[in-house]
Amino acid sequence: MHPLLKDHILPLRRYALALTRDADQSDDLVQETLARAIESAGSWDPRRDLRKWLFGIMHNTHLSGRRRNVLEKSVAAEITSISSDSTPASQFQSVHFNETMASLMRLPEEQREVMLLIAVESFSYKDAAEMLDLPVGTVMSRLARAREALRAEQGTERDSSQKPDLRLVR
Amino acid sequence: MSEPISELDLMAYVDDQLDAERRIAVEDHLSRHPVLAAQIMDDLRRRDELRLALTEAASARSNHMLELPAERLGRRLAFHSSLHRNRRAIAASILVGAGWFAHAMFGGLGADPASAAHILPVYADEAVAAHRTVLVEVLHDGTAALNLTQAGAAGGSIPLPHLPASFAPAGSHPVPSERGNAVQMLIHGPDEELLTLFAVETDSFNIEPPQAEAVRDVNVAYWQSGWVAYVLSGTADQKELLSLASRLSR
Repeated sequence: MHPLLKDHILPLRRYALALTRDADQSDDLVQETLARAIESAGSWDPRRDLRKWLFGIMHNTHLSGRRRNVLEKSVAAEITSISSDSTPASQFQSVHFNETMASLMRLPEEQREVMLLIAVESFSYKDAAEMLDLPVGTVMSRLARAREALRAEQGTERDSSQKPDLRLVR
Repeated sequence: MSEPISELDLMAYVDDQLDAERRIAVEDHLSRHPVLAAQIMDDLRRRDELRLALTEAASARSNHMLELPAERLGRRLAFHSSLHRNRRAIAASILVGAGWFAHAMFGGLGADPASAAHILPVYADEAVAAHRTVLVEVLHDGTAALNLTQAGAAGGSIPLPHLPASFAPAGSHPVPSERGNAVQMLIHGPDEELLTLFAVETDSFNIEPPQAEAVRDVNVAYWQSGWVAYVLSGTADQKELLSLASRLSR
């Protein structure tokens, strides 16, 4: 693996898994991200953080892939006019997720994404905000909501009565 | 003395976004609030679990399909970062270039060619980047994947040297260069070794005999003939490459 990239593949894979929640789709997303990065390599400023640049490309690739998907699905639905009872496939079937991971995967995508970028990949709030093209405050409130949801979910599985909400601090 | 600990501080503590001083303040606060501390520990544990589980799932995927694109991307990025570095060098070399111009026009008055000759031209870096890329691609897919046109055809307006009989051309293709038209020719040398000849139009007319140098781990011999600069890259040692280059540059 090229020395410039060898340390970035695993983090990109983690991000792709969190975004797609499916091992095969995550492979495709990583590949498509690299292909797009090759196309736009000229726009990379070597003084900038390469990891952040790559993550930004993955975020955008995923977004446009989802838009394409929605479009394809609506077109397919119109053409075949099959009734809408096709159930969504179990999205985590191809990867073994532990309990915490399963709760992460149940979060809405916008919360899952900031959780991954900041808690797992240790990006700064500012970098994550730039990458997602959001105000820092939005990123932080999404993160707070994500944490709250994870706590609540695990709290109900365990003995939650002794765990106060992280709300008010003096 | 310090600000009271806020919810934001606690959040930033879990996310490792605090400077050392603030971290200590938060830890001090937590040591006096055990229930809160337990909750923070819980958040940290969840974060670590997520990292582990995702890393495990991510590591289970095969990188086989990523090797070629990662290599390609790496080369391109390295190429761009070397261009970036060289832009500064170009600015410095304009003065030297002016010296060369004076030398060519006025018969050697001015700049000392011996010292100027040691400045490796910028296009040598482009040539080496293109050379490495092609080696990787040939290694993976053979020459077929390169979409080579018959030797010389891709050159367009760039004249490629006539090859002596012991050299076998494998084909040529246009390659990116900051200065416009460039072409890379793949050649099997007299010992069957794979050489690349990079030819690029320059913006100054010059006649320079071949010189050899190592650019990172690739040996190159470069020369200029009129408006076109040539870089021969290969694994041969510099002396050998220089002698191949002088045969080509004749």
